[in-house]
Formats: sequence, structure tokens, C-alpha cells
Amino acid sequence: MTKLRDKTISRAEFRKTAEQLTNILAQEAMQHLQTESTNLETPLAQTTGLKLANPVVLVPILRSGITMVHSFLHYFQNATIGVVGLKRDEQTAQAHWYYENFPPLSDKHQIIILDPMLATGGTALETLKKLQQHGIPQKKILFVAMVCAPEGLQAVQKEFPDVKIITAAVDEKLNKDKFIIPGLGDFGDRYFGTE
Amino acid sequence: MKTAKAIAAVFLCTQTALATDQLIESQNTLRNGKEWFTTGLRNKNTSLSKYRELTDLVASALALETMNHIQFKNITIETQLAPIAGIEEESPVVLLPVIRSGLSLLPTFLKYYQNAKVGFVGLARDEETAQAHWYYKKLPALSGKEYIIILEPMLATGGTALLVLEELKNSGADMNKIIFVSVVCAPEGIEKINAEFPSVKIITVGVDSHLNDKKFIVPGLGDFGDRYFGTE
Repeated sequence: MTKLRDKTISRAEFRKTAEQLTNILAQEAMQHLQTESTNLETPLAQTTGLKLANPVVLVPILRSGITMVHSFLHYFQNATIGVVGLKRDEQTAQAHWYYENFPPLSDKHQIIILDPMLATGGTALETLKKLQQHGIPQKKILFVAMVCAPEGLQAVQKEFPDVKIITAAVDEKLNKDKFIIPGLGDFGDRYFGTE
Repeated sequence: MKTAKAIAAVFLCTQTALATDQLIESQNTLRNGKEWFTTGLRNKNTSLSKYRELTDLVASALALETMNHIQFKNITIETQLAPIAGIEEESPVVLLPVIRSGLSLLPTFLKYYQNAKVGFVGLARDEETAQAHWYYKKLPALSGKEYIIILEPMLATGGTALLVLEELKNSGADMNKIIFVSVVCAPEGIEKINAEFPSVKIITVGVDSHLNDKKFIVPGLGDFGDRYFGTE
């Protein structure tokens, strides 16, 4: 987090650090998934092991969320991926979905939403509502962010109390432009070089 | 017949003047390797995780091939024993994945172009009205000096490709510095780019036979995005 927050690090360094942090978050996410025991044979004997109880669906939110997909795929190799993109008009609170492409979904699926920054929670709430419409129970949803603002955490917690949020940092507040303070700037702009 | 002739001509050029030619099959990759990647990607029985592994491998081969078409400048460095000539990138590189499939090639290309800026484009085309709807467009500032590498695993009709290329032209890109990277191409798409933007280089591992009536590449590999993301 220290390196990601530092405004002097290069783009290449920012990407490398983001990837390292994503790996940690993916491992943490794994701790919160339901598993079941499975029987297998080693070359020498029968034993039992663990496997994930439910098929995983990664849901990256465009644009920043896609930076986390590749690392998560190392840990969840058979996950399907639902890409979503939306803008929220803060005044009318209307969400405009410009992209939505989900794999088949059922209440059996374990969803992992990927979005590096949870700021106001507006986008998060819209995505959660959409998943609810697809019949996904809250208990089957993990929200993974690198940095969160308390405002966003509260918003999600209030409307979706059973959704787990996994994050590397809970920051102080949002400023008047809705940026996380101290935060790390605009994640997408720094990662993609569109500042 | 016209199609067959044009493609034959392109291949002929490829053999004689690789550097100035528009269509470049990734020849510098070991032939067997290339064949192996595409065999796996084309096979409809390939699993989701295997498909993704092969995508990473083929993206590496394509990324290495793009490096042959980017100008580098000579520099001198020192080994532990002596000075020696080396090269470094001369112009900045912009990677431009087309949403959604193009995203799958991005992580590998970023390993080769660590300082590249990344733009994104997403557009849907109404096949009846032929009107394009841009639902996403975010480009870094372009000075005209950049090499722009467009990432789009499948070049089918070329409709999307042309719209992206027009947009880049209007945004001040140098059309001599654009490389279009795809995994498989249909002859129809290649011809279309060839006709309107002859200076754009196309790098691919497979030029397939034709498009079917649903505009899918045949034999192709199905819908690349659906197979990679598991949305079939």
C-alpha cells in the first residue's frame, strides 16, 4: 500500500505493486469461500483434501477492475468471468449500464466482485442490485477492493449486510470530489497512464 | 476468386519483403509452437483454464513479433567487462485493447511493454443500420509519435477494426505506426483494412478460410471472448 500511495513511483512499478497486492487479496478471498472435502489418492495412499464447494464467477468492474482479473485467474483457474461497466449520475442516482456480459448465473455460484477502489459505493450498490436480480444470495458475494472509504463501506453494509468486503486499507474519508483521502489517486489513470 | 487472389498476393509480399508488408504472420515464432497454440485454441474440447493458458502463450508470441516492427534506437551500455551496443524503445507505446476480447491479451503485452500507456475502446455495431455505438472510449493523450498496438483476438468482417482506425486517425495518430494484433483473421477483414488503411500492419498467427453467413470465422475458434470468459 505504501508504494501504491506514493505519487513518485513509476507506472511500471505501480503495476507490479498492484499485482502483488492483488495476489494477497486473492489468497485472502480464498479463506472466505465455502469448501468441501474430497477423496483422492496420492501415489501411496488414499487421503482426503479440500475443494471449492461452488463454482466461482469473477465480476470485474470496468475499467480498473480488469487489472485484477489475471492474478485472480491464477488462484481460480476455472472461474467464469462476468464483465460489467457502468456510470452513475450522482445527481439523479441513475445508473447507466454500458456493458454487461454475465456467464450463466444461479444461486449455486460464488461471486467475487473486483474493483480496486470503493469510494462512495454507488457503483458497488448498482452491481450488487444487479446480482440480486440474477438470484444471487448476498452470502455468496465477496467484494474485493484495494482501498475503501468509510462512506462506501457503510453504504454497502447498510443495504447488503451479508456481503463480505475484502480490502487492504480503510482510509479516512472522501474529499468533495469524491476521491478517497489519503487514497492513491485515480487507480485507473495511474495504472493505464491516462492521467 | 478476387478474395483468393488478393490474399495470395499478400502472402507473396510477406515472403519477399517482410518489413514493409502489411500482413505479418508470426513467422519468428517456432512454427510448431504456433501450430500448437492454435490447435489448442481451435479445439472445441479445450477446457476453460487450458484455453486461457494458451491465450497467454500466443499473446507472448504475438508481442515478440510486434517488437520486430517497432523502431528502436541504438544505445551503448556496459556489461561487467566491456561497453557494448544495445537498443531501447524510441517512441512511446500505447496498447489499445478492444473490449471485451482484447482485454485477454493485455496482461501479457504489459510484460513486454512495461511503460506502455493503455487506452480502451468498446463499440457495438448494429448490423442492420451499420451504425456504430461507442459505449466506451478512453485514449491517453496522443502526440503522433506513439506506436499504437491494437489488441483484438479476432479480425472477422473488419467493421470494428475500421471504426477504431478511423477514430485513431481523427485523434492524431500516425497511421504508419499502428499495428493491429489478432489471433485469427478472415480474409475479408484483412482486405478491408488493406483497402482503407494500407499502412497499418496486421500481425496474426492464422489467416482462415472465410466468414460464414453469421460472420463467424471458419474454421476459426468459435467466439474468442465467450470461450476465454466462459460466457458461452
